[in-house]
Formats: sequence, structure tokens, C-alpha cells
Amino acid sequence: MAEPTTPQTTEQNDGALERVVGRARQLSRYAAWASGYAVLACAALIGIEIVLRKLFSVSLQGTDEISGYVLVVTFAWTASWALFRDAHIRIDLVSSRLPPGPRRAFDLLALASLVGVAMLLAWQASTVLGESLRLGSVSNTPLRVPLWLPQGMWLIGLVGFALAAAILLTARLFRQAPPPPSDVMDER
Amino acid sequence: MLSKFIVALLVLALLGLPVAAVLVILALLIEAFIMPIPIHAMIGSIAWEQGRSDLLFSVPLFVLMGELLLLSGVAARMYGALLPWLNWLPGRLMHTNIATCTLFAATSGSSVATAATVGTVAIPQIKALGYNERLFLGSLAAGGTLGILIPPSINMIIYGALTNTSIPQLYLGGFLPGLLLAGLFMATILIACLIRPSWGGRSESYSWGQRFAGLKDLLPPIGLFVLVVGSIYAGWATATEAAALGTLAALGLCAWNRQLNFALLHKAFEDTMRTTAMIMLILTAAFFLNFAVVLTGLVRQLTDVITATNATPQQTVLIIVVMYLVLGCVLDVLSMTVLTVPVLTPVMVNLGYDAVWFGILVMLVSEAALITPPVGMNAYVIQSLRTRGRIEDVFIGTLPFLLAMLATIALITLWPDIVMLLPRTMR
Repeated sequence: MAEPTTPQTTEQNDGALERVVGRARQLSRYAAWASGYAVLACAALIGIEIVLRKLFSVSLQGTDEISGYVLVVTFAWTASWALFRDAHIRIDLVSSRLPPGPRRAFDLLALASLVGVAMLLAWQASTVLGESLRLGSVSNTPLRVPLWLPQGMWLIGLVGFALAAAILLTARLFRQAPPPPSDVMDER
Repeated sequence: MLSKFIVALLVLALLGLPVAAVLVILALLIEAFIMPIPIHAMIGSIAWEQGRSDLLFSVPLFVLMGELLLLSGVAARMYGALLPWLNWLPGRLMHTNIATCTLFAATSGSSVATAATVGTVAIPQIKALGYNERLFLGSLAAGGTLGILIPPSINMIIYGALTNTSIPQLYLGGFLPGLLLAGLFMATILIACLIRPSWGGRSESYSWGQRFAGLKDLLPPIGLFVLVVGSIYAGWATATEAAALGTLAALGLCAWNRQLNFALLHKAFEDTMRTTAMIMLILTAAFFLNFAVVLTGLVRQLTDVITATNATPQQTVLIIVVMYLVLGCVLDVLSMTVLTVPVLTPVMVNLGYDAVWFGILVMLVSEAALITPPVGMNAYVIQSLRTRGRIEDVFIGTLPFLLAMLATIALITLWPDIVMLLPRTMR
């Protein structure tokens, strides 16, 4: 472990941390693309289901169940993308009017609280998955989906969210420069 | 307990914590100080059971549909088609702004998307024809808010999910108030431009041939409306299935107008999932807090407080509307909804109001919140589309339209039938 006090080492740490943040951000961007395709594929499935039902009175069964899994899993997989895009809404009425020093403290506190929420979610999701594995639960529908499958993907996403939040918090703790401006304004 | 709860909420929110974290921490505070049972252990199963919701799957669908419609160029064609028909009214293009917003709202579930899409088309026109810039910007910011009142509506879906209210009923309930509000917006412009004719811009003349030639460009949005709203009432589709059909149609429109490639599609996915994940995290936290709040009996306490004031139901509505107007100044619409709706809806139902009616009231106060400073999101969207000027111009320009919203709120309170007439036909 290098001495953390020398400026050079701090810079090196800065660079390494920034690279990790950059990679995590890119990874979560890919997760957003994959999720977008999943949502679109699910829309197509629903479209096919409606046509079959109306024209041929045949039902695919279970598209509503699949839509639900797609939503909960894509949410878990892209919560970190929303984090990197600074999209998780906060009320910055007070903090945005503070001088840079205290504002940075408020920003770090906000990020730390998200790390906490993400960890709580991931932890409790793991108990949900553990229970399904222990009982060998399958969904109570015609599809009879083994629940560990969607719940496992869900948990992976939530663990990723917690990791991404922790990485971002670490990087911001050690970084002197202010974080990039929020893009909440192009919300739609 | 009610007052302690509100103080804790205010402190956490003003600390600038993410709203989702505020909600989770409040639930944990309830566990720590009020209900010593392991509430925290429930967040996993609540997140799973509420998150795998077929109904809420319409949220990413509507957001994606909005992104695709922005790409498709359908709004510019609509604007061009409506303009020759409304050009003779004092206020000219501003009436076109409202009419385009109204029609676009009938295909879009989001106010911000409506303002952004119509604003992109309309804002370049301000200077060319000499309009009062503030009123023009106000008509776009306010007109855009119709997105959540005229069905389909993401915010109605969220309200329905939080309160177990029927989405088709809410959609029908928003229809007449939406048209009423659009009419009042146009009346506002008309009155302003009759008083100050110079605000209304210069005239251009159109032949009847031009008027009819443009009408074919109204077919795509009307077709989308029939698909996304009509299919529900025809009994063909659920709200989510209808949203899926709309998304596929919007994708088709993009392809038809040759606006589609992988880079644009991926950009649409990125923005869709960013918004979806943000909404879902807040909703997950809200369902978790709601679970804790129900245990505490807060709803009954609040009902008792309101009953003890001996206020008439209409006075209660007045108090609640004032509270919402204040909250709407400091909170964004989603946070305001998840914080208030789970608690207030049962209170209002106890007082004899229909949950559908209250849902429409929440949409109207949300619209006001979208254009009131300092955090009115629609005003910022319109400002971000300009290349110059200050945000204050937009906020000043929306003020007359805020009056139209308040008038609509008063009208549906005095005559609840404006909301309930259509939903009742479906029961």
C-alpha cells in the first residue's frame, strides 16, 4: 500500500478510481440497452398475444406474468444506470444554495444513503431468493416458472446497484473536483 | 405521532437525501420508535411482489413510446396540420400550441414528454411572427401538463397502483376535465390577446386546400389514441397491453418516417430505463413505507383530525388543494404523489369522495406543481429548449394558465360529475 499522503499517489488513486467508475458506468449502460431490448421484446410478445387472441381465439398465457418479471429484473439491472445519470430524485432546495464545501457534504450524505438503501434491498432480496431455493418454489400459474430464475437475475441486478453506489461514493470521497452537473433537467 | 412523522419527513427531505432513501429511512424510523417488529425484513418480499407488476410494466412502455414519438417527427406534422385551422383566432400559434398538446397528450402518458415534444416544434416560431414571448412559452409549459390528465397517463397508472383504483375508470375520468382545461387554456389566450392584440403575433393566411391537405397528418396521432385508449374500452386489451400496442406502433412510425437506427434506439433505451429505474426505486420505497404506515394507524389518526375540524367536505378539499399547491412548489410531482396519495386517498374515500375523482384532483394539482416555481419541471423543460433568456420568463408566462387550472379544480369540486359522468357509464 502506497503512502496516501503524497500528492502523486493521490493522483494515481484518483485515476484508478475514475477508471473503475468509468467501467461501471459503461457496464450499466449496456444493462440499459439490454433492458430496453427486453422491454421491446415483451411488447412484441404482448402484440402477438393480442393478435392470436382476437383472430384465432388462441391465448399464449402468461405474457402478463413475464411482463412483471421483465419489469422487476430490468429495474434492478438499471437502477445503477439511473444512479450514474444522477436521476434518483432528491430535493436540493437547500443543498443547491450552499457554498461548495457544505454542498459536497450534502451530496456525499445523499449518495451514502443510497448505498444503504441498495445494500438493504440486496440483502433482503437474497433472503427472498434463499427461501425460494429452499422451498423449490414455482410460480402459481400455468407457466410454473421456477422462481429462483427471475429472482436470481433480480438479485444480481440489486447487488450490482449496491456495488455501483459504493464505487461511486468511494470515488467522490477521494475526489476534490465537484461532480458533473445533474442531468435531471432533460428528464422525460 | 402524526406531527413527529411530518417533522422527520421534512428534515430528511431538506437534507437533500434521495426521495427513495427518505421513504425507506422513515419506515425504519417507524420500526425503531413506534412498531418494534422487524419491518426492515419485509422490504425484500415487498420489492419483489410489488415490483413484478404487470400494471407497472406499462411505465417503461409509455416512457419508451414517448421517446420514440419524439424521434418519429409526428409532432411537427401535427403542428403543421392544426395551424391553418386555428390561425384566425386572436393568439394564433398559441392556440395551435394548446391544440397540439391536447392531441399529443391523447397519445402520451407524460406531461414532461408532451411539453418537450411540442416545445421542440413550436419554440423556433416565437420570434419570426412577433409573439409575446412569455405568454407563448407559458402556453407550451402549461399545455404540456395536459399529458397526465388526458389518457393515457403514467401518473394515473402510479396512482392506480398505489390505491388499487381501476385504470380504465381513471382514464375515463380524466377525459372531460382534460378537454375542459384545454378549452380554458384557449380561453385564457383569447382573453389575453383581445386585451393586448400586440401579444398575438402576425397573421398568415391559409387556403381551404391547405387546411384539408394537412388533415392526413392527424391520422397517426388519432390512430395511436384509438389503439392505446380505445382498445381498452373495446375490451380488446388491458391498460398494459394497450401500452405495448402503442409502443409497437410508435416504433413503426419511426421506421416509416425513416428516423430509426441503432444509435437512436439505444439512446431511447438509455433514457427510458433511466426514468423507469428512477420511478421504480421510488415506488418500491413507497410501497415499503406504506406497509409500515398502515401498521401505525396513521390514516385513522389523520381522518380523526380532519373530522374533528368539522369542515364540510368542500372545505376539506380546499385545504387539501392549498396543501398540494404549497407541496408542489418544493416537491417534484412523483415524490408528492407517493408521499401523499397512500395516506390521503383512504381519508378522502372515508369522507365520501370517489377514489377516481380524487385521482383526477391529484392529476390537476400535479399539473399546477409542474409549472410553479422554483421546481416546476415543465417550465425547466421549455427553458432548456430555448437558446437564451431566463427561466423567470417561463414562470411568469404560465401564471394566467395556472388560473385556468385553479378554475378547473373549483369546477370539478362543485360539480364532481364533470369527472364521474364517463366512469359511471362503465360501472
